Amino acid sequence: MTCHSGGTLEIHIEPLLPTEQLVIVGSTPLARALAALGSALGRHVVVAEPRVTKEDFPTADQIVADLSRARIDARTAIVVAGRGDADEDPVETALATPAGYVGLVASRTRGDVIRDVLARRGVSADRLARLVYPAGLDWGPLADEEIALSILAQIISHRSAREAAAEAAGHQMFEPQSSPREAVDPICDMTVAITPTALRAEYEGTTYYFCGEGCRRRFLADPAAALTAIR
Amino acid sequence: MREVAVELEQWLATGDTVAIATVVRVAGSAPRPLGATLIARAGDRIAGSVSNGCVESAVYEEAMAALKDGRARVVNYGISDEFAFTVGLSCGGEIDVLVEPVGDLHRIALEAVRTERGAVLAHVVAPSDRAGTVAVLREDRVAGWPPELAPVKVHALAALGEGQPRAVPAMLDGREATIFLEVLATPPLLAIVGATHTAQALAPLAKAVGYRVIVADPREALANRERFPLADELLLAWPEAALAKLPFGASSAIVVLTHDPKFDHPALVAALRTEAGYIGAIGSRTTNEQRFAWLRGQGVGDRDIARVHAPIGLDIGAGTAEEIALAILAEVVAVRHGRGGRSLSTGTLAAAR
Repeated sequence: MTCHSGGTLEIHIEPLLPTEQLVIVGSTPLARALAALGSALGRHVVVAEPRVTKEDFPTADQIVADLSRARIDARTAIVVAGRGDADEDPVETALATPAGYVGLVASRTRGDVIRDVLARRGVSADRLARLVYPAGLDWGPLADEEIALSILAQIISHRSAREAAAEAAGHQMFEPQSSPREAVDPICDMTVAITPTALRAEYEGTTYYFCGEGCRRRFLADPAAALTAIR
Repeated sequence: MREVAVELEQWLATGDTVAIATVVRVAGSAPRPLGATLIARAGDRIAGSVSNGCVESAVYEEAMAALKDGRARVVNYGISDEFAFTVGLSCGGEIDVLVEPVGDLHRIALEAVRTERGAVLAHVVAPSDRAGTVAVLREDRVAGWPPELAPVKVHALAALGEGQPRAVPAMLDGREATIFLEVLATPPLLAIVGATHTAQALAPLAKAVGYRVIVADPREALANRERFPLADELLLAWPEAALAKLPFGASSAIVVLTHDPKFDHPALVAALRTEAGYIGAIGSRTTNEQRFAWLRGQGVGDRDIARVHAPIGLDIGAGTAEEIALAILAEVVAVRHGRGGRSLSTGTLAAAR
């Protein structure tokens, strides 16, 4: 197509995707902290829990009685943050949705139990592998707000990994079945998305990926020692 | 007690008698940290949480009993069978909870929370017949402190300074005792240099995570209440002047977000003069190379340069300004807890692959 003036212009097409959604199951203090932070992050926050009101979750965009009533797409993250005694059902429902992230707030012990219960109920191994528990980053014992922060950081990090994997595979973005391509930073143990711009270093034929320049520098200073330290 | 301070104040104002339950010991994996509190009053009303719900109703019964007989008690909750959802913790952990009526010492601590000052509450956990809250220490006053527990005061001061709760041994009536020191820490300070778009996204997130947020920028067009309705303080000053005024400790953070070397460079020099536990600066790799070269030119040593987190924030692939702000805050909190930000579930994911 030609411009009448004879000049050229480039048009940048930016997709305006729908707001990412955060669906929270539970009414614990952590569930509330997660809703408040999710709203501050600009997420569409849905609480899927019976008997809660706008008073409990003042910033929530929507409150529904249970997960089956929420509209869930691949750009949705579901966090099950209940009291721990009735998490099996919402986790099973969540794993049957196309949600991009399904996290469970529970100890590893309790998470294993829930996974086993669901496996016995016939939930496939593929589906169970999607369940992230304990949800969040390993910062030790924390205040609820800090746990909520770490869960949101993890949700973003998983999304980036999925997008990078989809991009690498030349696929349409946000395909729920694409498994994340991630590496673990050998210095800080953080999960790093393998993107074309990811920081990396070769050592003895293996590529290592890093969360930042600091870790990369530390690795390069003495790769052998760094790798021994983590074994 | 900080987490229930607002409700506690409201309930006490109505003249109700209120009981408070505090997690004073944790073994194994527990749903709530040491010092987590729940308050209860007659009529099935509770606020806060000691177990995210697992044992809350049992704690409520103890609370009502404590209000009736006026006595403090320490109750142990654990789990004998992973599948027996009786009164137990489904995560497999074990907690001790001190349940007692709210008294004057709690009110003194509550006043500290309201005025954003720190306080330490001393609770006797053992022997059980002496259980209860026995003393409070604030920056400006002390109350309680039976003479036998005077040696614990120095531990309370240390706990307040470090913002970390602890259990310490003591002697009561010639018997070995355990005192749990609950810390109501002063909110940690986050100073944002540069009232930019990212700063606007960071301020409300940091407030929601419990930081005292101060935004410093000499440009009034940027640093104003319309743009920063939630900030605790706006300082219309150049970075050096602003940072020199503030009390930074190990739990405080300085985040430089101006994107402009004329602010960034002096801000970093001033930041490195403080004791702040976290210093970070926004910018691309090129910016950082130039920034660090400039700092070296000013005689700043490698040790100091290593204190600056740049590129700033956890590398989570943040997209929007809000997500970048979240990545920054996540790094600030991770560093404060001495963690790099490793995913809790890395093992699980790896095993699943």
